[in-house]
Amino acid sequence: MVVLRQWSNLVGTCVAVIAAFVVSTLLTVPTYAQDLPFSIEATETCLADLPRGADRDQCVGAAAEVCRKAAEGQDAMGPCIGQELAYWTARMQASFAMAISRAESKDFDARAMNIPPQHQEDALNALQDNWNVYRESACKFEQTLWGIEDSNSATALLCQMVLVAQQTFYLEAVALVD
Amino acid sequence: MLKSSLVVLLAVATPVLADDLIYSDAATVSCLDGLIEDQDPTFCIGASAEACMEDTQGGWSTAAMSGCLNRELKYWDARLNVAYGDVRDMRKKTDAELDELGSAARRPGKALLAMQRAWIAYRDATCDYERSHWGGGTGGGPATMSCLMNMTAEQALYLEADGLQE
Repeated sequence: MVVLRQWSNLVGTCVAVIAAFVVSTLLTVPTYAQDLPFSIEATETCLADLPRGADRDQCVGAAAEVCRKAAEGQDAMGPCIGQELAYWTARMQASFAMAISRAESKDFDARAMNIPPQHQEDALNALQDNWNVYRESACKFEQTLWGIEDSNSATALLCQMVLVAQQTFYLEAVALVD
Repeated sequence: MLKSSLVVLLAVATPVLADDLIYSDAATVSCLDGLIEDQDPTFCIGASAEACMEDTQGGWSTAAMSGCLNRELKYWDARLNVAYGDVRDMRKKTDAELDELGSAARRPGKALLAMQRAWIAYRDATCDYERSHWGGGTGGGPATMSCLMNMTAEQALYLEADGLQE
């Protein structure tokens, strides 16, 4: 997995294309969130400035933190993290769609050439389904460590954001480099 | 000339047996010990497997690569089991305390078990997918081992971090 994650360092340009798509998708934000001083810029700048091979996890949450500080006097941590989570979720979905498309093509090509297909589409769907179950259970476990039941709490959203961002990096590597 | 060529070919073609691997956990352990504060420990994953491939004759054959990766997988798997046991014991105590208090709060011990079961299914699905990139090719073996080693190591480090919180 780490190997695939490392591959994605080579594809900054393609990631920027996905990111642009995600930002355009996010222009439609929920009403409550429109009052928040949220911009994804800090996270994207952090990622763009990272030296090759550096751990990208360190940039996850940068935009939420800037938002929280700017929303002085408000209990904005949860909503700010929620906004960045929405960004990562859209980016992950875009990457997954690209990865599935590639998997379908490879299976199709194999059949056309009379080579046994590797059923990559099925395998990738199984991966993502299992990851979703893992993410939910991991974040429920994290919540128990803080005694928090609310799945919209900052703690729960933070867990979701980190895991979604990590899966995004993985899928981008799969979608763009494989 | 022909004979010496055959000897070379046979040497290359001879499969590397598990006993032939020159493996030690030292490179990974030393890397982890040398980390400075806030440095990412995942950086050290695979150091021993790579040293094994370098040090073993024919270490870059797919069989040897799989063997080296499998040895480091065992190292991380042992760490994962210890970390999981520690966290489980700690969280079960919390479950018992919550039971005693009659609390309706979700039990961390049970949540930990659910998470670990889900992680195993997620790990297997990920490594099946990664293997699928190689078709029936011999590269599938090292790819699967590398995936299992990396994911096991990351989960071990995650659980160890939780165990250190208290």
